[in-house]
Amino acid sequence: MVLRYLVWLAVPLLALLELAAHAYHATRVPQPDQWQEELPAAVQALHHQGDLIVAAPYWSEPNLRFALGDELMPLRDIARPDERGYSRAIEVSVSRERSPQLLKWEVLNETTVGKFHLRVLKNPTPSRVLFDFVDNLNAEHASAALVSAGTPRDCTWDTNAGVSNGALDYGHPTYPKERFRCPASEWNFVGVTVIEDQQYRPKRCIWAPPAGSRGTRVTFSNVPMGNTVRGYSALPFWNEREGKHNTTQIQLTVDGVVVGNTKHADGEGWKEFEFPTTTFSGKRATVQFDVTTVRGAPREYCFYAEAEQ
Amino acid sequence: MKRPQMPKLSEIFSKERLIDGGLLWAIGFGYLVLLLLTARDIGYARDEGFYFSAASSYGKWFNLLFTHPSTAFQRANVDRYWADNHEHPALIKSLFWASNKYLRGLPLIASQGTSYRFPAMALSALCLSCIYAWGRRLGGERDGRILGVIAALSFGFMPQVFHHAHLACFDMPVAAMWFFTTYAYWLCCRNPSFGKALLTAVLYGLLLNTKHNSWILPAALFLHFFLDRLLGLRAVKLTRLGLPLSWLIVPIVGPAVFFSTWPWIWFDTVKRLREYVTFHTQHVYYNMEFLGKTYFEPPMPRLYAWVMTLATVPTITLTLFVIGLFVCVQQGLWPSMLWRLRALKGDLQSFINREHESASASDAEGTSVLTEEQRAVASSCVLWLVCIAASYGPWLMKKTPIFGGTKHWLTAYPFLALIAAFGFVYVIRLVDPLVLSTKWRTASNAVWGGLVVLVPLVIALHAEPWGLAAYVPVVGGAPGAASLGLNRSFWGYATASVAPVLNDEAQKGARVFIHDTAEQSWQMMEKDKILRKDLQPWPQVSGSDWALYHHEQHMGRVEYMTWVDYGTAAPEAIGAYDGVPVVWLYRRPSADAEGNADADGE
Repeated sequence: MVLRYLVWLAVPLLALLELAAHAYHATRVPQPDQWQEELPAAVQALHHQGDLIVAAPYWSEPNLRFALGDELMPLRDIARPDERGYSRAIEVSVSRERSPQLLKWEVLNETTVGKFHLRVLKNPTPSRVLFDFVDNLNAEHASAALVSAGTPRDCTWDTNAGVSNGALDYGHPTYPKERFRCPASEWNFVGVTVIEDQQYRPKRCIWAPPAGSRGTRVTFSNVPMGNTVRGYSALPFWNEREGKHNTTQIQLTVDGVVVGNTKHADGEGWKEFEFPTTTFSGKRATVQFDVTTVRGAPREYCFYAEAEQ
Repeated sequence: MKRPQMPKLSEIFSKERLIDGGLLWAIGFGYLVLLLLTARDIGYARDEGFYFSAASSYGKWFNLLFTHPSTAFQRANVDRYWADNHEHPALIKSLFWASNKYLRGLPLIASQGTSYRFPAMALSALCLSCIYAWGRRLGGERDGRILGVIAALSFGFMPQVFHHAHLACFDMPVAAMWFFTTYAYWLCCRNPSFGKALLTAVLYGLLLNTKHNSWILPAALFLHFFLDRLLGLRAVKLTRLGLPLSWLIVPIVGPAVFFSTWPWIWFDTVKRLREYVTFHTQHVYYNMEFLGKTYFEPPMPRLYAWVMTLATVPTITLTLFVIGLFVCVQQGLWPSMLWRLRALKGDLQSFINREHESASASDAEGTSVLTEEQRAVASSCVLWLVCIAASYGPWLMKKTPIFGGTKHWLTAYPFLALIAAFGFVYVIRLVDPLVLSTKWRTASNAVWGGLVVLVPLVIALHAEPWGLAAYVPVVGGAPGAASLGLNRSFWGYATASVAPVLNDEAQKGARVFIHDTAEQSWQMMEKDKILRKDLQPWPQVSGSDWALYHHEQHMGRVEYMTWVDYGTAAPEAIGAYDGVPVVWLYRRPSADAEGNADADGE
């Protein structure tokens, strides 16, 4: 009998509980204008030059970009390859959520601003980046060429090339205004753009697509070398997620010496590579990336690389 | 088969009938008014734009039909006007046109868009009325009204239902037409008559002409009949041929109605029907985020439909559904199944004597241990359950094309709500042994009923105009769903939410990349003065001055295109639901200074 009454009472109690929970969830995350009103000053007060600013949970990042703007959250940071190169980060959290990538970082400081929790985090093992190849893809530090049967044909640096991109959800990433234009079709250029990884998150990288027997070469001169050249290879995940196409390969040559290569198969997403360059450590060298594909169709290859100590 | 007797006038206008009629119309009319009052802020979804365009084209044919009938039937004119959007049948789009032509300007239907949307709203409202009617009928004198009211409102205020009921699309119309057809079929099963069978057949023909979900319904009805017989319920009355009367008429009249109301298939019928079927059985796969992963090819995760139901239907409704299911099984299906098992073993008599002495007795035909009334309720429960199963069934198959989410099984929800209402009635009757006065009992029932309907109502009203991002508290609401990686938008319907920023700040003639919004939907927003007319919808990011971004996980790549093109990653405005960004807007930094964008990108 008691059970009957409990069930009878449980139904309105459940309804009230759901109503209360709805009210809580509807207000636990601030609206975008609250982000804009409450955060800039608080984040500025904590921010040091070179700090990474992240939102937790990740889906709230547009609100944070809206509030802080490009100066505090530049494209370089939001489309970063990973977090290794940052020594500090400011995590702006709602509902006390954490950024999974920064869970092992040391919390230096934690403050609350309205419904936001701001954490200053310290990277326990930051990498020392000597040279970021993506940042230095320009006429001053780099050159590019298409290579057919060992013969290079130079690409020319253009600071006012035609910008184009796709629409809806298809089409190619943006072909940037500043890029090396190559003697081939429009897409066959070398330049910095942003593609999506296997989680559809942004990755800033050097677009260097090979086409069949024709490879793409990107050369950097006077590069300060450390113990490794580390980076990532990828295609826009849209183009590799069906796993139907041929593999691509990137080969690293330093001062004419091949130090390594790695293949990228469809579906591997944002894939890390690392080549030891200890023999060149402490010197300045010419670093050459050669991107090739085994056969057939062109591949929309993009890579990130940095010389690390 | 007995010829039905005409009811007397005093029966028609009895107090009870007037109350029921009043409730039935109050529910439907009230819901319709609520939909109309909340429609304005909901931007036009991608597919609505295509249907506006198709409806307009069909309207030209109707105009021709009214002015030059013989010309209208010529193939050239049929093909000319009915080719648009022929991958979907014509009924609902024809209603969209008629509503726009004849109803625009009536109170609450002032805008172009709302006039197109009105038929879907009206069908949704009528569906609520019919749910009430079926619940009322099965619940009997004592519980019928509360059962009907709870069922109708629980359905109408499911947040996804409430949102889709606003749209000039087919998802709510097909849910409504499915329900009408099933209800008419049920009425014909119980008290067969030629009129009811014909009504069922006509409704099924119209259902065929509404959306392809209709192909599944016959399988559900066959299964119901099979189970009705297997369990000895025998609630479905048969003709001398041993079949339900409607089965003799529907296969002839249904397709005839379908054929006659869709001019596109009047010519090259087989080819065009094959094309229609193929379009849906081999539909292009859409991208759908589920638990943080975007699925773009089959098979969809087996749990997809169930988890999405759990995450989008109010928990109180689902809880009552589980209770209702228990009641259906315990009081109807389980005794019938036991009876059937015993009967199969050949010791039916001992079973009845030993375990069911207090049961109401088997009927004259010895069909079951249940009373006639109980068998009717049990059989209707079976019908509802097979309709639910049929609606979810495709989502358990390996090759079902993915082209949408929760909207594809809305057809299950009226039945789910009816079973939930059974659960509710069961709960309030648990305290029958308590000596409560009628007054107290009525008051407690009203409070209990009010609460179980209030929760969906609050969530549904709060969710607009962000209905597709509405998630219930059990997954943490919209923020929780975003953290879980559940889809929060598709169809680019949220443009209206950032329209004020464009209207206020965009330079004259600015080009706006419209992303997932269809150009026809954009144009409708211009006609309805939601957007300025001088703004130019632009098909790609390059060359645009402003760029919309409607978030879906896989669409991120479009946002990144904008960053590189515009040289900024800071949105100018964000449309957010409960703090969760759904749509945002970028402004090219040079847009104001240079008028239009750099011509490079053109």
